Amino acid sequence: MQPPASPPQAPVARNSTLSPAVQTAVSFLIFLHLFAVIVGVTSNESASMLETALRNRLGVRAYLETLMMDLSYAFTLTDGPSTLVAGDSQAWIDVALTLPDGTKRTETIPMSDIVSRQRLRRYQGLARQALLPIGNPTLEGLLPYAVASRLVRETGATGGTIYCRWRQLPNLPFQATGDQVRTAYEAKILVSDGQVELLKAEAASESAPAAGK
Amino acid sequence: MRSYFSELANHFGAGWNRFWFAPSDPLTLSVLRLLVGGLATITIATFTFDLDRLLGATGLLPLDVVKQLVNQRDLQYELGPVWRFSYFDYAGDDSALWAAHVASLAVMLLFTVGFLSRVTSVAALIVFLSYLHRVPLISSQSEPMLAFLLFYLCFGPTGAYLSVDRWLHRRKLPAEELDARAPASSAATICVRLIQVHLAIVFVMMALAKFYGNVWWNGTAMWWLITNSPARLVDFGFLISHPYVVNFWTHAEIAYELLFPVLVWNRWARPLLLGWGVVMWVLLALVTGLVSYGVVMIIATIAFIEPDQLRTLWTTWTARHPEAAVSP
Repeated sequence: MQPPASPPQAPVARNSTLSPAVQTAVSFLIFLHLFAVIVGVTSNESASMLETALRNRLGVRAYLETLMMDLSYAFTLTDGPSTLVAGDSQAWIDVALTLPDGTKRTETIPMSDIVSRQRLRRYQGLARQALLPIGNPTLEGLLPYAVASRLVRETGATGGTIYCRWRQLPNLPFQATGDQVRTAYEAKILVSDGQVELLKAEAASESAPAAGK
Repeated sequence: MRSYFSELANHFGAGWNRFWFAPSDPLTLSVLRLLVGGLATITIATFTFDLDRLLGATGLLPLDVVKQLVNQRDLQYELGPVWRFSYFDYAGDDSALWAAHVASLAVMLLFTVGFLSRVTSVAALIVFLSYLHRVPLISSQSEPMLAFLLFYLCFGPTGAYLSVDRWLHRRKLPAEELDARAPASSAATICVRLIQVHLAIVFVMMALAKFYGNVWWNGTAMWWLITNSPARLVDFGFLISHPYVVNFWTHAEIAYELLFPVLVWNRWARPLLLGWGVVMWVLLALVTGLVSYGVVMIIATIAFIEPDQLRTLWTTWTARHPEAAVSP
């Protein structure tokens, strides 16, 4: 398809120019919207009391969250080495399963044979999200439990172990080696009458040199 | 003093009205619809392979788990839970899930090709947000960008060009009017301006956020991206022996993000910034593997290209590739 060639001037339709009254109303709405966006993006991190109050009490938050504009757009991409909270940590979940015939199988999220980058990114996000609540006893087992339950249902496994892992980078830049694989969460998967339970291992802080991840 | 404020108000008001309401050709808006719709459609289509695994009630991200984690994040900031609408919350079984997904894809395709654009633009926004609100935990940088672009595209004549709407409209026109431009409109201007201003805000926030991190100050940030990007397209590890290049690359990223929201309004600086942006986003996509993020940022900056400049680009391109110059 092609846009039209260039006649002298774009015709202005009769109703395309807004009347002053409509312009005033639209200006007011634009002002409100941009005000909400600016409050929303600036109040995500280290917000002042004023910003927090504006965001929460004027319906701004509901408006922005509904439209998925409640973000700071703080896409730093990296905070450097050894961060669990930043979006740049390479995280993954290993699930070592015991199948009904007694054989062992390890499923990894993200899957190694995934083709689409968007899909890969989603599974990476899932693995990273599993790491974020580590240390919060109420929340840290939620995603590992969901992952274990799903994989048990898919494979019919009778038990296994789930590991939430990440790669810690060396402390200094421009080094080719020295990164470590860390296990932030480890739990036994117990299956009984089709019900899955997780039994968390207490000391899940092993580390090993990274290999191929 | 009174005259100063009077003149200030008059000048500001005139400038405001010119900026937001001067009617403009909706070609830029139509190009944005095509590209944003296409990318949003691809984004949603990639859920097809993992529909039950990611969105299903017994998938890896069950609804109650997502709600607990998201609400906890809100409580952490002393905020109450907010109702985020997603029709996938009500898709209880596989058949409902698949029906919703197929209907969603159909809506996104119709919006992309510009069929009943006024209606499908709103429907496309609802569709896209439903995916994001169902699994907000695994959205990345590109989805919120697409969400705000889709939102602004609801308010203008996005089907004025390059669309089924346009093709249907032209079938009714006499031959001498076939090449006439679509009417210029204030709605087109408002939409494009909102995208431009929102994008400028995004750039400011991206640059400011990077100042938190020491690695963006000491010039090593790109190294950490190079060494810790599991999905990278190209391994730039050979730069280990060229720290100055890495430093320059890091500083250039920051400089671009700082300069863009300031200088993009200047018509002479704009082409340089847009070209610089393409290089930056392509390189970043190669390093990080965040292809859709790079693509959506390049697409969003098209909002700063005037319709006549787009026509010139098109004319130049079709002169070199005459086989592509097919009328709709």
